[in-house]
Amino acid sequence: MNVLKSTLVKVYIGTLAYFISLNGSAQILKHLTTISLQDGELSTTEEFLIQVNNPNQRSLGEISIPHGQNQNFKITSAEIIDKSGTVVYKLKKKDIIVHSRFSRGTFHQDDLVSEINLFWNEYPYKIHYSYQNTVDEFIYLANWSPISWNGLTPKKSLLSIELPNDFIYTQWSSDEFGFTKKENEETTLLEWELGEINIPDDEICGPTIWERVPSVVVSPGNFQYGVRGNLQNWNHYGDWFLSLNDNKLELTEAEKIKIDSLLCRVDNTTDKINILYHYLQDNTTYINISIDIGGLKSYPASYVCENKYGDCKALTTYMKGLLNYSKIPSNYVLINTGNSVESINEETPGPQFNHIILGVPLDEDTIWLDNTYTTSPTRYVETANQNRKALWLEKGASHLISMPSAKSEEILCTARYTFILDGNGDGEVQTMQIIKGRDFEYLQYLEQKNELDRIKKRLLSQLNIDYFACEDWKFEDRHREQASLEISAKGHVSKQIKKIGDLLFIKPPSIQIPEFEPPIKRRLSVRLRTPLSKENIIIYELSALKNSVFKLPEPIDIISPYGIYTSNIQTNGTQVIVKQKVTIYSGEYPVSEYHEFYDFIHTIKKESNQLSFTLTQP
Amino acid sequence: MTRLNIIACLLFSFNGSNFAQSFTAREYGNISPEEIELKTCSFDSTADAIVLFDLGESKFIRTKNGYAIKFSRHKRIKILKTSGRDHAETSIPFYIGESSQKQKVKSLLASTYNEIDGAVLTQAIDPNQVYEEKINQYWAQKKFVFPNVQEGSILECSYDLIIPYISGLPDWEFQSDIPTLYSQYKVYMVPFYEYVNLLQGVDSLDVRSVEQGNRRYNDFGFDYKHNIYTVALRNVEAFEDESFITSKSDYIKKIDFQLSKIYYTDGRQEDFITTWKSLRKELVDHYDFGRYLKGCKRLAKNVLKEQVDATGLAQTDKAKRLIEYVKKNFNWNGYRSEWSSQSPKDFLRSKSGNTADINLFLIALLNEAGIHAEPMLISTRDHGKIKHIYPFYGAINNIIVYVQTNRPFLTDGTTILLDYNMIPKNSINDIGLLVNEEEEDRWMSIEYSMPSTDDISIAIEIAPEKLEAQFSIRSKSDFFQGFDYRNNFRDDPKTIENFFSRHLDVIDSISTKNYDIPSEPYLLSVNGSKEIDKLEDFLIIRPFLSLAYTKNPLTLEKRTYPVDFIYPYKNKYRISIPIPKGYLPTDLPEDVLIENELVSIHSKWIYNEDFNHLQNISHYYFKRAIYQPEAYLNLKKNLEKIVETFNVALYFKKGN
Repeated sequence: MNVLKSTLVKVYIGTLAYFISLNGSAQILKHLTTISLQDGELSTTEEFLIQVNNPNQRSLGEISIPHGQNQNFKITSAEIIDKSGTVVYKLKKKDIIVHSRFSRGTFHQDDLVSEINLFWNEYPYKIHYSYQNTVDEFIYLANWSPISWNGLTPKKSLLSIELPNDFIYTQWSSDEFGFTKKENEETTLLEWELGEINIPDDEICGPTIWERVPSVVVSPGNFQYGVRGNLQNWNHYGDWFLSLNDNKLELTEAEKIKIDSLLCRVDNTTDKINILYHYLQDNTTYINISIDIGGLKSYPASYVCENKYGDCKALTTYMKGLLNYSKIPSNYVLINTGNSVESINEETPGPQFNHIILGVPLDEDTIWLDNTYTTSPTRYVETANQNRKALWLEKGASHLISMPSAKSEEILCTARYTFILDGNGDGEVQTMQIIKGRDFEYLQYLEQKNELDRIKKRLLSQLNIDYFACEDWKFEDRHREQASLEISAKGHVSKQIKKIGDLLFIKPPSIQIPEFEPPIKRRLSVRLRTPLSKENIIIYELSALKNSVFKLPEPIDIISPYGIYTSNIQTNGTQVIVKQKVTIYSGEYPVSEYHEFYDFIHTIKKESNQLSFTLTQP
Repeated sequence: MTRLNIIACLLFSFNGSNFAQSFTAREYGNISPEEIELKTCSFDSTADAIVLFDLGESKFIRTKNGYAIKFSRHKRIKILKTSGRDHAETSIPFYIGESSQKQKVKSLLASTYNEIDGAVLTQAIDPNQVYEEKINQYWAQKKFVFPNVQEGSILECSYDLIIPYISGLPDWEFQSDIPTLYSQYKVYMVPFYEYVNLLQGVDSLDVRSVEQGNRRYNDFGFDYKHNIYTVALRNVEAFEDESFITSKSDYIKKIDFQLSKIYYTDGRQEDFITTWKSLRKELVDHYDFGRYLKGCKRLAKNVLKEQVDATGLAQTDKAKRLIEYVKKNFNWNGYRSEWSSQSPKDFLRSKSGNTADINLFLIALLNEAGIHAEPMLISTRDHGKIKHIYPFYGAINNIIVYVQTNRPFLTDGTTILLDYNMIPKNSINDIGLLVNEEEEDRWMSIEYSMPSTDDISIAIEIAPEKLEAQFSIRSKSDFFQGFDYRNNFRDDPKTIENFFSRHLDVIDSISTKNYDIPSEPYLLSVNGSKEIDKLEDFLIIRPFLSLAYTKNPLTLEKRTYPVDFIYPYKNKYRISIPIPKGYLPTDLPEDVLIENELVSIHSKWIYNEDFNHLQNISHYYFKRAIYQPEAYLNLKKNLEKIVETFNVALYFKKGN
């Protein structure tokens, strides 16, 4: 069993669950999982019974089962049962198509996918199939949820685990399950049963499906996976991980010489870290090659020394190797990275993480180094790593930690506009955006990929100016340790002054605020791992309308537990200056509070969209 | 632009070129100082990498039964910017389908060269880090990553691809997604085969020569020397993909090859698909085409007897019944091919197959029911257009069905949500060839001239006191517009709600009709509300709800490829607004009336004072499926007008 890879399965299924919608109510009638441990081999059999009601649901018969190349895998049966209950089709070996497994973001992996296609032409019909996987090395006995491979929930599901009586294990399960335990002379049978469940769909900034679906985790007292370990607590899990990845920090001789030359005149530890991190960023590429137990075991630092590429584990091991050689202590930190990922279940120590970074403890602070970002400043914590639990790895002292979260002012994005308009609302505009936080990371990524068209598209979308023909834009020069980007743009604008009857009005570009579902539709809490903070400062130079009388709206200040909104429009001679600022705090807001949260978002969105001023000419 | 030429040892006149020979010095591992020094591409300053050279060479190698082809590739790339490091990731696909055609990749070498302190450091790929993946039943790939790739690195790769059949002489693309300084292809011809080639997108080659090799060979008791055919281009710009095109392969600079004749040592000659007629004949006799079709016909009798009753129906109705039967009862497995992938019996058993399995079976069924139907060879849009001036097997990748009833039509048995007389959008690609045993080739144009329409009516009830408007949207869509709605929404209320959530704040109800009846327009009804803006005494609403284009999708200054919408289409709007008591419309948008050969754009706002009611009748209509590059700017301008017209705001002033 390869646990990090099975995490990828979850992501894949989650994505499918989002997209698959089968009208005529899809029918996964049964999902049974039977696990048995015998002579050290763990055998897992999955069995599904699916009812297909109409041609729209045919895709339920397109079945893909990922499995390891070296695992003992077989499809044990697959058949179609027609509406009269007769078996009308039985799978033959030649009907199974086996090919390599392809995952987004992975250059190569050695896993396989077995595909079968089960279709019939009279509805309804049932698909019944099962497959078995046997492994001799594993971490969990079961890390199971009843959700089927295509993200649908069954009407009935059962997890059954048979273990020798003397086998030591721990178990954890969600409350929804009915649990039974039976013992006979030699074995113990554990069963978790569940009837039909209703899992809410994904919602904006809500917990992921893997936090909403009931699950069972059963761990052995001790396990063998690469090396021996146990999951009694996070410390033990940390020890196992360190043991699996022991002795990998040695650099090649050529690399040592290089590092010596880089650091020969540097004494300060922080400077050394900076130099080494920049060296890593400038000379390595993230490429994921996952073979054997590659999901958890790192390539040695020497592999990256020679190839200058690697996945997160290899690059992090390499960076740790660079620091280690420079006598700077650092620690691995396992983390579930991403902006929409599940929080870890603290009660079930084990491989719940999809990423690894380094923590470099200094006297005053800890530096967090994500070694897959080639443009991040050294002291920058990427939004995908902020505000979540992570596992600090230290021999005999591994423990969960809370990753830092950016403060609003640290991620404040500011856009300054200067419009010079004639009496018809046509003219020129110059803009300067200071971009921080997630957008900073994304635009840096696009810049690094030379994706100029996409940068321009993003820039124009964020500026949000109607009737704007951008003539020129550019990144302003910056230091690589600067955690912000500055982009200037200029061009022609038209129709900025609208006329209704004898009223002229100007509607400044509004701040874009994320959409949320109305309360009537919301069933999940809101989780904002990072705050959002944006500010527009817009200057209208209206000398052509100097005799006009401006009517400006009253300033607005909205302060709530969820954030702040302010707007203010003032005149200064022939200038009208518009200031608008939005901050939405990070936090977890329970669904019981959603009404208030939504009211705040809805109100500031409306205020932002409606912000305008009028002018009348004599 | 395409050019057709025939190459064979006997047919060429010598036209040597020293230029071509100068590159024979490009040995693996021999990196020149100029290549190390090169920092930018002289004709593309934005390029993050450049192909220094790309050399291909095809040679015929003796096997037990004849010849195989050894295709040798030698390519060198310079990384100019950090972003170009992505070119370190490399894959070499090869065919693994039928055992007689399995290809092999051999002699793979790959190295990275970096200049360090004035010296060139060479790092070869570790053979253990060359991975092999099975993509599907037919294709596999070797994959590797060049080691230690930095800005300034030079990457070099060479390999041989062994192709065990002479009809597989590789084509050559001079152009890729990065600029190329020199691209050259050489074919060492033996006197037993003749190929035709088709040159695309190239006005003139920088090198085009035939010279005789020095070495003498004796095969099958016949003495000969190679005739070496060389084509090359210098300074080839990167191919930039644009939206609304059929396929990159229709426009990229390339040369394709097709075996046309075999010469035997006893003086006999055999034509090898020299005409489409020959190709048709081969298909008719082929196990996976004509013989599969015959097999299907034998089974079709039983199917007609036991599973689908079409007796007594008029020809078109009968055809419709049988097409619907196939769509409902057999599943397309996602593969397109002109070759069947299984026996007719297995197809009936699995109820699943590729396009050929399904469509040939459909033809058999139609024929057995007394309806004339024939396979039509086509190339799908993503595969590029068929160049009908010469028969290339590789030019075809799919079949659809031509049905000869009172009103002949094209059909396809794979897509249940399309009406019986429609084919999938991806199959609408220029021309198709009927497969029959007639003397004359029968090509047919594949195009839809009738517009697909979406007829949208929006009734708006404004509630000024709530600053809200109630919207009642009715959409009636047909042909491909109806198909798009059916296919995207799958009649699932959640999916429909997600879509309309972008246009309305609250959705109260959704209903649909005719999802399962593709011959009828798809009817969609959505009721919901949206907040409206207020400014001083004015209410502001945007009546089109951003349902039309909100941004011009054409953004280039000029375009060298056609804009291909696949089919003409028309969006019609009718908007009805009873104006709330005490309000009057002001500054109504001007009427729009644009009628030209490209488009029709109409919009008229009608205010009825007696009933204080505002109405709009409007449409935009793209009259052509394909707009040639010379029409681009005009089309772009018209699209700008569409964006402006169909995103207007209405203002209602509070009266006294």
